Amino acid sequence: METLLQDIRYGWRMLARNPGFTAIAVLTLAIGIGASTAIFSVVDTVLLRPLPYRDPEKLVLVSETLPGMSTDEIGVSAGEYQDYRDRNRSFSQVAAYESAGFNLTGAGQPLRVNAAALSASAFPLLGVSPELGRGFTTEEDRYGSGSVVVLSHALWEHQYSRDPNILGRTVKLDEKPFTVIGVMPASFRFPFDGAPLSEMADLWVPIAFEPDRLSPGNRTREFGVGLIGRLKPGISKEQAQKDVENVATEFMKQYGYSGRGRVVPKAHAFAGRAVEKARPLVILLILAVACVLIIACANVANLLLARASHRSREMAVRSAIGANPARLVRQCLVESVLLSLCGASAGIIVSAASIAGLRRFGPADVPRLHDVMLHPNVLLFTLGLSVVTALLFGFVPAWRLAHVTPQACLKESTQAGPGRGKQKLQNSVATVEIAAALVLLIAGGLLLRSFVRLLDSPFGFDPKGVFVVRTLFDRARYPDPIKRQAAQKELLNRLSHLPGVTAVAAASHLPLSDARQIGFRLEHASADDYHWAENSLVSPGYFRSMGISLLEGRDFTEQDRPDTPDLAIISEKLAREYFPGRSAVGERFQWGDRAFFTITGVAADVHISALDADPPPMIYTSMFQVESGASGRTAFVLRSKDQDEGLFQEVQQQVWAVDKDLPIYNTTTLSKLVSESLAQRRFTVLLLGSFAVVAMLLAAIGLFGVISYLVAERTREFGVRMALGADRTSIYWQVLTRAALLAAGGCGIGLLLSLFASRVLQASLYQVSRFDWPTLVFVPFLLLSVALFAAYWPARRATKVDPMVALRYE
Amino acid sequence: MIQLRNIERTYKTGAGVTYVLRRVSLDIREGEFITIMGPSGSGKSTLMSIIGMLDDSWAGEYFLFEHAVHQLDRKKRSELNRKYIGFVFQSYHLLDNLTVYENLDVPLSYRNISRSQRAAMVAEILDRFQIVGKKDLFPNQLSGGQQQLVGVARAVVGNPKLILADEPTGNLHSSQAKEIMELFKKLNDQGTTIIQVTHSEANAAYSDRTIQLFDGWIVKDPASAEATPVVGAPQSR
Repeated sequence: METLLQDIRYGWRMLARNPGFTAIAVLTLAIGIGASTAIFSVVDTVLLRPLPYRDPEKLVLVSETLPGMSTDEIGVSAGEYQDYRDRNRSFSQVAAYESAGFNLTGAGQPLRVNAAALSASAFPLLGVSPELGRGFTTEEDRYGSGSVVVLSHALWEHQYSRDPNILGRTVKLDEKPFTVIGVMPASFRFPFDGAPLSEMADLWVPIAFEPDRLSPGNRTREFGVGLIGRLKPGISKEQAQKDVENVATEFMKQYGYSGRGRVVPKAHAFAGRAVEKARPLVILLILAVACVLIIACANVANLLLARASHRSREMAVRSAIGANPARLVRQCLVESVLLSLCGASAGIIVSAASIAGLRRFGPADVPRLHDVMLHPNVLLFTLGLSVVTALLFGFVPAWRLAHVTPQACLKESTQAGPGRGKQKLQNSVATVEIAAALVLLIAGGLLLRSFVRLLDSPFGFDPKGVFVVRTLFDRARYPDPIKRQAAQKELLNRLSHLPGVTAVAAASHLPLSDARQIGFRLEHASADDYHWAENSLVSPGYFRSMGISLLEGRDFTEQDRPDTPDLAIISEKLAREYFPGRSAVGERFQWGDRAFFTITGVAADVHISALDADPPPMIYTSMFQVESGASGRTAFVLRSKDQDEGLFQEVQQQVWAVDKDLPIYNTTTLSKLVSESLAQRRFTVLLLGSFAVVAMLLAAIGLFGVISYLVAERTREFGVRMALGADRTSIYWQVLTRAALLAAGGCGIGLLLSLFASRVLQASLYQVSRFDWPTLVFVPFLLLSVALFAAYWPARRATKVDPMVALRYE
Repeated sequence: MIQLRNIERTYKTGAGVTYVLRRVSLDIREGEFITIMGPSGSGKSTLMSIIGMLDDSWAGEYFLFEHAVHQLDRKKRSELNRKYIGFVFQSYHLLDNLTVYENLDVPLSYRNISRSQRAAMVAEILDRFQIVGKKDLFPNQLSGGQQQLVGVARAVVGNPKLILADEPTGNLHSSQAKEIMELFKKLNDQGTTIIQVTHSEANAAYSDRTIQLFDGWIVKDPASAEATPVVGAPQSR
């Protein structure tokens, strides 16, 4: 113990005596350990920390696919939910949920709130009790039996100022009175599907299915109900999968599902499902940060190796006076651990700053990203990481130092140049650094190219100068469509007269913010030959306001009314797919059970769900001609000459002048929607790009260190070469060639590694191959240039070697 | 062949300027074998560096054959070095990560000589020094004597007119030292001018003329009447 303390004291003294070396090593480690700690904090919070429910590993989500219609995974119908609930043998509890939205009035300004409708079993199943009051009873979960609501902690706090007497109070949702029966704890969030924070539920109401929704006829029409189950003890997810398949087989037989209507259920672990979307991004970050840490370790190892050459005489003396190799290794490792702990301390500061940045600028659709903080687990991780790092970068130099041959070190050197073994090791370490940096740079380059491609690709609409204001004409206030349409038209008219506004329109759904699909059947196709397309109900002038080109036919007009034939405008993709080689205008299709729609125009394709997702087939219908469930949703789209956001206030005044209880929510601009849609990709590019640049700088510093050391070690050799006739240029080129060879070797290995590593990226690339040759040529060239720049200074120093000084031995 | 006139070399020190060489004038004819002797710090190695054109910071006049070295820039001096001079060092200074063959090739690679011609020259020198069997060995696989043999071979591979040998046997035992000195004598007999620095009287006996240096002054030169016969005066200010 005493000798260990002695080693620690001596280690401190050595670090203090070499402030330059210590500062560079600590800074390098701080970057490596700090970045790793920040990313581990994200991994810990997003992937590892259990969901805030009781035994979350027992929770299973059940979804369905319709193989006959090649659908993605969708929810179940209300009737199917009841069958899964009543007929399964695997779950102790089953709950249903679906998203909802309400206009909350009666508490200040009208407010649009996100909500979730839950079965009475949901709160008990999740194992979370309300902070105040109670959850729903089975009785309240029956249609028409009562209107009750449970508030989120945030809504209670912000809208009702934590009113302790909130229980029993009546609030108005879509003009209907609901009694507050509970407030959930602040940590409670449900649904938990990786949705952005803004879409988290503000309140919960009983799902209480309408009798119509439970009818057999509705089974193959509706798939919007989420289903969650809690596994019985001893039942695995695989057994649950078999069980739900059996239940589905039973009800499909009972209700006569056939052909394209047949469903296939899938059981997923809820915990995995919640973070599934974020997993590729987080894995990418882990790999990136591992590269940075490896480079940082390699840098410090090379610094220590360089220092070892100056300390070999000291170690030889220690060895000559009786120190055994184990003791010498320990002494060196103690120094490495001290260095690493200093690096970790500085790293915690770096990681705290990085976490603040991640929380501020991170994409909203990474679940719990905003909860990321330096946690005790994370600090333990940092401690462990610093010890592992110390062993990684400290062991080889320690081993080498501890095994020096005293007589070889203590006698005068007759060699010109460094030993071949030591040089090889340092070269290898520098090569590894360059290879790791290249892998990161290529990944960053590919993502950047994807991003640029994405920005260059046509969105299908022109976002510049377009303002969006949403409101909702809910059925409770506007049961009569004629009255609602009159209010909508009145508003459109008022908004068109606002100063600076050049075009105004309204739509139920807008690109990059919301979407819905409808099923349609072409005229003359068989009765069950249904296809899916995106749909939006739009007003005349929508295409002009959005800047969407109308390629063929005409726009909707005021003359297209409920009593005239139903019209539709379709997207180019739908026209190409279903009416190849001919004009789609004049063709007809059927939407659900309605009368046939005649296609009156073809519009340019528009990206709907995301800019990097292909534009889907789209059907636009006139909001003043067609009534549907979405008719009340109204997003006003104003194209303005001015970019002044004061326009929002003017729109608000006009809306409330028409109806003071209309809620206004999600006011934004199309440019912001575009920007938000790019947020995750921008964040990934930024983060990976930052890691790549840091890696490149660290690798350049590493190469600078290696070449500087090499020049110092070869001073005598350069003197000899000059004495033998070498001119300064040849010395200069010799050093640069060595650096170029090291960098080229590293780039070669890095390129090979990149070909494998870029597989991880595949899903994140947009119209760029992972073998994208401009990236694979330019990035190594860039790294090579940076490496040569780093080597330029030591090379210059080599040419300044004074042969007289180099050769002096007297 | 060599004419030095009033060569002076100083170093700046904290206390002022220290003279390493003072008004050194020297004539060396082609084919001579010269020994420079003197105590440590007397300026022997500095004088060798100036003659070998490794040092630029001196004052005075230096003629090598018809070239006025003191008027040439560094590049021209480097060319003269390559054309006329070969070096042998006390510590051999073989390049440790090159084989014997490659070490012999290094000085030729700095001259404008084709690869095939260089190969022929190296092969010839390996044969002449009877070290063909060692051509693929690295310096640390050779004894001290063998390393210095390679050092001499490297100095003569470019057929220099002048060999500068700075304590060439300083690290060798007496039998190896004798072998190397015999080699120098043989080279001298074949017409190569040799200037050696040594502390050994036995080595000095191989030469035609011995010049004594003391505190930067030439205190004895059998060929010159101007040598300063004064000993012990302080030479720094």
